[in-house]
Amino acid sequence: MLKYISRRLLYTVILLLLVSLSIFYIFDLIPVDPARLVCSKSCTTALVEANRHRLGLDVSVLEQWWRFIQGLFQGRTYGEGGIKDIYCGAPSFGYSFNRHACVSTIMAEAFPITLSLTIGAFIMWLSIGISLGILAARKKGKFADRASTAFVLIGTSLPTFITGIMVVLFIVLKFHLVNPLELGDWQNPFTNPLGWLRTFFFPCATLAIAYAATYTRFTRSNILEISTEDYIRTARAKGLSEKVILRKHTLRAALAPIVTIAGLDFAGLLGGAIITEGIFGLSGLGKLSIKAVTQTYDLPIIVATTLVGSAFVVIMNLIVDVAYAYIDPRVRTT
Amino acid sequence: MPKSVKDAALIEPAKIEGEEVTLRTPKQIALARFKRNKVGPYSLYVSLFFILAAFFAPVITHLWGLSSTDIYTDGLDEFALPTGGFGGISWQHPFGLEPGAGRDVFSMLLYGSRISFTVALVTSVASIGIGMIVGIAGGFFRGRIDALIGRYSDFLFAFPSFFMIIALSYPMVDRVEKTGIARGNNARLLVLIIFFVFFGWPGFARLIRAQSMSLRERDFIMAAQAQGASNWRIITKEMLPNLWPTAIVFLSLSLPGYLSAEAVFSFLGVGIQPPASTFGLVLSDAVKYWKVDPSYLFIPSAMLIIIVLALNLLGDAVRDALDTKSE
Repeated sequence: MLKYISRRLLYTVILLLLVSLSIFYIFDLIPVDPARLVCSKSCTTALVEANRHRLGLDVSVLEQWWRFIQGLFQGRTYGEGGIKDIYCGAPSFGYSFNRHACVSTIMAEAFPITLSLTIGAFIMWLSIGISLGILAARKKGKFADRASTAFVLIGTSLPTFITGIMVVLFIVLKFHLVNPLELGDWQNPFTNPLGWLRTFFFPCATLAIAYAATYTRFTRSNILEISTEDYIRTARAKGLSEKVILRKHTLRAALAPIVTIAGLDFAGLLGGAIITEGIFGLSGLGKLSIKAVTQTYDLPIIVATTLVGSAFVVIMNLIVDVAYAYIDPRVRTT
Repeated sequence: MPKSVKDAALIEPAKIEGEEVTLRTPKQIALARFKRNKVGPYSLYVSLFFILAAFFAPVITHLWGLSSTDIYTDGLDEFALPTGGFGGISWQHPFGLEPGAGRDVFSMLLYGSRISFTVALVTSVASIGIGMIVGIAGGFFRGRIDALIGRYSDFLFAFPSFFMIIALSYPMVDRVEKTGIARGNNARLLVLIIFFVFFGWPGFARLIRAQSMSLRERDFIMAAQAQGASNWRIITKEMLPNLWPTAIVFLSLSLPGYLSAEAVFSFLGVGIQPPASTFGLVLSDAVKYWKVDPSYLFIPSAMLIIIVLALNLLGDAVRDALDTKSE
């Protein structure tokens, strides 16, 4: 097991380094020159070059990337040759000259919002999806099954942005559930749980609908498939009650693959739920990155959010794999 | 006298008690199963209806005496809102008028769905083409090719594709315009398709890889190899016919996905731009008028949802028809 974990860990670190390096190369290729973007109207070549040096873009991509990696662990000084040096402590994700702040600080402000949204939605869709899936599988062909099939169809066919718009406009604003000016304001769940719930309930529900639908379908088909296995028949033959069979035998096998998918979906959302955050005015990571792209093309923020997003996915992949190897020893040898 | 139909088929396939037993090809079986499905045929008709409507958008709007670019200001009041109920719905303008500019919503959506269907179709077909080649190469030849493909798709899965598309669409469109291949919305369309394909094909390649790996161990492949058939012959004559169902299912399930993906990116402002009028663009504009002209919001939403729902149902029916496991 230890050998398996260390091998997977090494692979993950290499993958992370490679992905981050290629993200640096990709953003170097694009024809946007940040040095020119921060330059004022009376721009000269000398000024652009000075800016380039100040932004740390006058060195090779490899060197830029290496400095970034170093900064992650040691902290980093930005704005060399400028009026004054700016220091961002470790972990430093860069410095936004547009917003005059360390990217790590900006992201630290946005992250709790994305985290709240993700956790809330995750709990909702898992509980709805799995329980509906179990219900549909147990009542196969009956009304409950057909109703849940309808739910699956509607849930998978409704684009999140349409559900989001409808929920905001025709539930939240129409019934004055939230003051429009306070829509999306951050509330601390520990000091103001009610306010937090008011801010996050509807966005979480919007996000959860689509996911719950796919999880319902997945749970149902998994349970039905496993119910035909020989060991379930054996369990039934030895006189176990249906409840015990479901809880101890079927669900255990049926939910294992769901853990994998749930982990990856969760990690994917941690990088920012762009649409939901945008519609509900939540200033999480997703809104941060889309604003950075569409308004100012703030490269340090774009690079940092992209990197963090992929890091979540890669690391969660590792966790899921290790967890799976723990549950199912056959995986370790491959 | 044969006891059952099965025995009869074994002994004399032609006739049992006057009834003819014909052997059916897998295609015929699938088709029969599809027809037996309760919603399958209807979802096919609805999907085809919308696809044809999009394809013939210029003809239809012309016959209706409309144009997607004309401005019908006489249908707007002094606040630039459509006069008459439900967003100005009338025989002349079946879906009402666009508040503000005063274009005809019906023709806007027809032309918009044209773009959406183009993106969805081209992306799906291209992803299937690449995924098919790469998947077979990996699954059939194994070894180094397979390892390389596996690592590459691992690597691609680690990219947050949604972010990357958003972050790179502006600069990429710029780049495409500079090369002179396409301009404006054509360039944006091209970039969107390239991105979708780039991130979309590994998923399909994995499916095909797994299938060709199990196929190559089957006896009929070994028989072909024993007869001295070339790899090319084995792939085209023995494997491909077995892989088509997967491709068709993937196509019908990915169409609605890409259709709504295009809508999302246009809605966020990183896809197609005005004056084009895709679902995403119309909806992001409609949000501004939700209180005074809700039908301008409801009609495009309903149309998009109906299209996606029909395509999803069609995909499910196609999968059920081709999936021999559920027999």
